[in-house]
Amino acid sequence: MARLDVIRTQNLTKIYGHRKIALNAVELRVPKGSIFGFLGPNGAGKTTAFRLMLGLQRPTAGRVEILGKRVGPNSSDVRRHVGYLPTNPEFPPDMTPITYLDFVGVLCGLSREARSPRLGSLVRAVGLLGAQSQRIGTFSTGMKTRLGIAASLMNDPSILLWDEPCSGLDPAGRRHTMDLITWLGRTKTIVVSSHILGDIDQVCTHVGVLSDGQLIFSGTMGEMKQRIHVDTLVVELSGGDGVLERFRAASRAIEGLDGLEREGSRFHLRPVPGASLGELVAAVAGSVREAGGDILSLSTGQGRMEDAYLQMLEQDGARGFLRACGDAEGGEANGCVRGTPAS
Amino acid sequence: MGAYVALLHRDLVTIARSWVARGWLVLSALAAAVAVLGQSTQGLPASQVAAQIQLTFLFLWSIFVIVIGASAVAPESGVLADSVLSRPVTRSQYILAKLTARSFAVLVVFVSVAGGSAYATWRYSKLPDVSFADVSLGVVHVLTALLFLVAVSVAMSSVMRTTFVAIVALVLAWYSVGALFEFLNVSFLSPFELRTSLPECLRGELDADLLWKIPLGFGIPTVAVWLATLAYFNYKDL
Repeated sequence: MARLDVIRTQNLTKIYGHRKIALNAVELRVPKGSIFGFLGPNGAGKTTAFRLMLGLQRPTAGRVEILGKRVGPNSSDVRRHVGYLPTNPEFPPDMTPITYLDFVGVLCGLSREARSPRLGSLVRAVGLLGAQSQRIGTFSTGMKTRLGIAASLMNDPSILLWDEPCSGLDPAGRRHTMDLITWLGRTKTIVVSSHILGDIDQVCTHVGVLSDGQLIFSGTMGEMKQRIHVDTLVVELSGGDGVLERFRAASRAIEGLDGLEREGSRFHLRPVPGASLGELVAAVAGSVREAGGDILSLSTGQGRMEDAYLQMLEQDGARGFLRACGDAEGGEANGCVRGTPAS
Repeated sequence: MGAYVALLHRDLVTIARSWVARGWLVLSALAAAVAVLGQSTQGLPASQVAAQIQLTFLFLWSIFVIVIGASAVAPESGVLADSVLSRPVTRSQYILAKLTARSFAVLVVFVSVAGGSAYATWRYSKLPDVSFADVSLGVVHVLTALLFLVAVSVAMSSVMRTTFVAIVALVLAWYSVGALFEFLNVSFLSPFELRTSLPECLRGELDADLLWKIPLGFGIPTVAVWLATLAYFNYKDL
């Protein structure tokens, strides 16, 4: 049975004042229960997409449907099921976290009996207990982001739209937020945008890549990773130049290795396509011993996600005319590759 | 409905905490008190003193009315999308709450100061030439003009990004509108016309046709401005 798409956009286009094309014919499907990562460089249209999904802006063309209902400025019934966290959120500066969350609870139609315990547990969960009586106007960016996370969860929505949730957070806060997304993803559908590719790689089940307002890829994380042509193995060795050079010489004899590049004490090994990574690791370990060194770190697929992403952006830039032709011929959704590797 | 009430309550609290609203209430009450106390020494008729107090709301305190109306939406533009309209709230609920709260605040200040001072004027005047009905009618005339000004100010605040520009534009428009309406031969729509009609109204000598023309002349445009603001705000990108 096909999975239900909780968010669906059709031909979604936004042009600001006949001057800037922010989104161009985006066809997005977010399956129920997925953690959907929205990737794209600055200005790609991620925030515009979120705002259109919430009815904060009107599309120039196309439509957004959430839970099967068309979204518009007055779609408060749809927003009842959505928790939104904007990038660097702004809140009424004269309110405290408690008064603001209570206000959000009232807007969401929660009774006092439901609001009070919920806001208490959320303030505690996002680590704002120490600042509960402080005016929001005095908050740091990270504190505002944490308050925004709490506000987005106030009505226990089934869908979360989080725009750059790690913005302004320290490493511990970032880690905590990633863990929270994973935990919330068990029961909710989450759309999260981030510039930190590692974060998306870590928590998301699905991914969409926006470039200059166009959705150039949409699919599962596995499908995204398949788009990288070469697997890599990165090994960092201890020992001096002699050891490193002996390893380079010894590695020539390793079966299944296509080539390698040295970067300081680190070697980037390119396996022959189809070669067993396990056998390669064993052979590399043998060569290191032979060279008289030791392995400091060994990783597979480091940067794969980033490579795949950058590769997609480059390809998209290079195939602009092909895409335009595809549009004219009513080709595949605006040049968007849906879960299949590009040829 | 719950969201509308919450937004209305929130905005009323904001207005009550603002120094503009507090300052306006204190200044207008003080000025009214001085006028009432002064009448006994000058021996002025009650209608003239009450009219002077009410007219200061149109020609002096109107600046406070403009500031209260024009600061309804524009200063919240950053907060609006992030923390209010991304929640289960309709645009109509939000802008209606703003229009209602700002109108209610102006109504409370004006009615309490004008009503209180009119009673004191009648009570202590040597020439108490006003009746309760005539004072009430006069209050309604001035109030409709003030509510029209609030509606236009909130409308400007939803259109313009900068509060200061909205205030300057409104002040210029408010003080020049009399000349325009005079030119268009619809002077009963002008707030300046109230300068002559209000003392007559308080004495019970106003022309019968002006009794309804003045409140309708401001009331109908006020409703039109509310509807236009609702339509515009529902269409606007945030």
